[in-house]
Amino acid sequence: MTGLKINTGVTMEIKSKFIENFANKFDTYLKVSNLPEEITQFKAKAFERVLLDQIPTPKMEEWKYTNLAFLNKFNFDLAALPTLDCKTVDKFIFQGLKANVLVFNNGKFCKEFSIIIDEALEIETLSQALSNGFVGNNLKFELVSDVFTNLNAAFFEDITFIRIKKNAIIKHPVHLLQIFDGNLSQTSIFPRTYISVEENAQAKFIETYQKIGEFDTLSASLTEIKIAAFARFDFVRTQILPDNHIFFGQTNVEQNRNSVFNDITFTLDGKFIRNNLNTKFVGEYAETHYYGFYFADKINYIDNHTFMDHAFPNCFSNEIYKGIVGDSATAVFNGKILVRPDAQKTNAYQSNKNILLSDNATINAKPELEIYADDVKCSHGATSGTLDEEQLFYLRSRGINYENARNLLLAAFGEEIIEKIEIPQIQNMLSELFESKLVGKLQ
Amino acid sequence: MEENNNILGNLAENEYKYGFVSSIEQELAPKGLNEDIIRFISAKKNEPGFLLEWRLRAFHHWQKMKEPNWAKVKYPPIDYQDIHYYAAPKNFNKYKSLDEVDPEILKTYEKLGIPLEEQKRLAGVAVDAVLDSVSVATTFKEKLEELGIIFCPISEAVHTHPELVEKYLGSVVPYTDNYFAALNSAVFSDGSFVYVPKGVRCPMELSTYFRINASSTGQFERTLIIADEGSYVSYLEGCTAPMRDENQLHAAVVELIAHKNAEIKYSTVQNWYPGDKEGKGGIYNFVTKRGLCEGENSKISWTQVETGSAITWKYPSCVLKGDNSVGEFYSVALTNNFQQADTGTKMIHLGKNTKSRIVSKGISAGRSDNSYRGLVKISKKADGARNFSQCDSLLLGDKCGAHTFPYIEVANQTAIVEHEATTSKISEDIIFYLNQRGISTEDAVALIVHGYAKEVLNNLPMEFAVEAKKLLSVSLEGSVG
Repeated sequence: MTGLKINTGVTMEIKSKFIENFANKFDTYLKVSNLPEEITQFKAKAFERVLLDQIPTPKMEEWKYTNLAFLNKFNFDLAALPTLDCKTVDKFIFQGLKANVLVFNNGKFCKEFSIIIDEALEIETLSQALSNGFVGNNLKFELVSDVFTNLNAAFFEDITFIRIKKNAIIKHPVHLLQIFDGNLSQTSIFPRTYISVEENAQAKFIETYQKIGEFDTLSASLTEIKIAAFARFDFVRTQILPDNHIFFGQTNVEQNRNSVFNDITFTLDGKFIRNNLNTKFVGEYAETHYYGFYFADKINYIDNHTFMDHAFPNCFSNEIYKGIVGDSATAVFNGKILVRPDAQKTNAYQSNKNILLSDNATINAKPELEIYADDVKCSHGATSGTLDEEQLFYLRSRGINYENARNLLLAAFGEEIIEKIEIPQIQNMLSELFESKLVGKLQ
Repeated sequence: MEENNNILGNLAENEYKYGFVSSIEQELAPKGLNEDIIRFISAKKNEPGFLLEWRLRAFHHWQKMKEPNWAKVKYPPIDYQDIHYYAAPKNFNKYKSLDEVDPEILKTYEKLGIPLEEQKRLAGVAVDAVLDSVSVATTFKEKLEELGIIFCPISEAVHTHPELVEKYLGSVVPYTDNYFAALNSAVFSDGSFVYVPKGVRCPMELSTYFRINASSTGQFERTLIIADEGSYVSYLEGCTAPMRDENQLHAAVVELIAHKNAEIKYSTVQNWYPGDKEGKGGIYNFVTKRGLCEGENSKISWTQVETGSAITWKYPSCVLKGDNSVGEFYSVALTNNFQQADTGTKMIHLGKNTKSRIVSKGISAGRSDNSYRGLVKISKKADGARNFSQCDSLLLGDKCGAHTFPYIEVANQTAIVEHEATTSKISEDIIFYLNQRGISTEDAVALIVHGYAKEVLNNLPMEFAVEAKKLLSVSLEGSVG
């Protein structure tokens, strides 16, 4: 295709329509975005890297099971004016749960729709964080190997900084409500959030995603979470996305000594979902739990990549991902545990269990261990199978029909993950959503 | 305990006891790889036209390929033009009896403890010995012929049974398969050929002993084993090489075909020279091994004990095509000093009710890296397929690495696939328990490693199992404390 010259002076060949579309928009975008020099420079570098990398192909190990050629049929615009109103937002807020609600429209924080009840919760935009020196002191802009994260770097409109101050305990859950607006045209959305949990602080976050409008949307998000010493952070993400949204989510967590991080990724629906979840320990005695559940049906594609980087000794990590794959869906689980040299006394566990419900369903699992220290205990397990005939028979012999017996067993399978959620209202809500999905009534 | 003392005795011996060089006059092809060399090798062997054409096709394909780099091993680039692709003992003609064999060659095999001589008949193993590029002697040939079993160097089979070679060569590992398989197809010089006819149970273990002797040579042998309907054969493979400072390339291809109700058991004790303590020298062992369970109820079982080679890169695999066929993979891979191993298996389930079992035990010591890389693929039509994989890694010392990269791809809901892996070191409690009972730490480690590897070693034929146990101990030397 066309060779394109961007303002870095490098000419590169663009091989895909998907990238070409962004290349055509980049220069104009940068000019009108009116950002400080350092951010503009970073964006230019990030986009240069995107051009260099192109869209990943299945030949690349990280994308071995993913064919992204379908992206070329879209012609995404950058996020335009919001069409959001109060009524719409209200629909998406949990009823009966007293919570801080942070509303994001196409990745941009909307103060006017948000509700903040805990004072220790501090929210800043990029310009604020730049002016008070937070960015310079705490955040370094770095390019990564993931092309969608770099695409996010090139096109993010704003960064939302959420700080939980030292020793603060946020009493009420914090609800991050990401709204993807496809009312005007095919839109690409690049949410970028930076969460800093300071020393000894505690908070529970829940993130949900809502799509409005008929046009196709794509989101490529980056969430960076820094958990300081002795802090505790719970993060629940529930993904129920319609067929006209393409989701790439990158979450990078850094944990200092004695901190605790719990992540629960609960995916019930979505045509294309790719979650990358990485945790790096930067201090000793930290603890991480990853829990994941995915239910892929129709022709959906759900891909979870997790990475646990044991860079310090005496840390603990535990990971349980469970999945149900039906119809012609494909699910991918790739979990990697890296124990670096000298990260002695590491305990790292991982388990991935899958149930296939149809002959056209596929699961690709790749649990990995890469270990360079000897005094460690690490293990992983992965299974795939269908429902146990004997268990079904047991239930049916007690007068429960096949459908109900099947749903009962599948519900029990998913419940192990749901019950890890420590907010009762959310737990109940997800249980109900999961069960309505099982009987085919999920909206 | 008595056996343990023997192990200690062996431990005291030199580290790599097969590191000698035999002064046998060699005939070498000039260094380098081009069409002429391939024609030269083919002419040397007086091969039929179809084989030369096949070699040339493989060579042209190889020229278009790139060397793979996905394995977790590091080595300086190999100069493929700096290798002799053909080395043979001089004045070499096929011997009619062992009396005619060059006494130096016999001495070489004597040092290796290979029962080539007639008086070793009692050992009951039929041996085909391959020195550098050519097969030097095959024992028990007549006895096997009575049963209709063909066991001979592949260079001989090309002449005596061209129809079988043409039909099966490259049928499991085509020359397009990978870089090293293509290279092997172009330049392979010799190897073993086995055909077991319908309903015959091979009465003895068949064994091939591979030896690299000449310097700056590569060894590219090719093994082809065909088990016809209802037959059984157990095949052993052993390998050693002299100690040299340079790295030598070994790129072999092994193809197994098991027809209906047939069973092939393939055991390897791989002890190529691993390089010295500083990681200098050693063999690059880049091998493609694959078995095809062609017919119903067939079974292929791979057992390997890998202690040698500077770099090991091999994945003995099973393609389970016939319904109810079974694939097995048992492996102990031990790496010490600067050795690198990236090894594992592939189990491709195509037929209904196919079963596979993987037991892999990795032991890393010194500054070595030991990876298990395996694929379990259940295709859409493989109803009722079953797989169980267990991959354990043991770390001895804090400078080594142990890695597990399993790929599990399931496209059939009735299949049951289970994978588990653990990594740990030998617990101090266990060592303490044994110390308390008067067992030194080094002995205790040997004891635990043997126990750890037992599940795999039990699958080896007895003579091999004893040898493998000793090898484990010797390879572990110096890694404790």
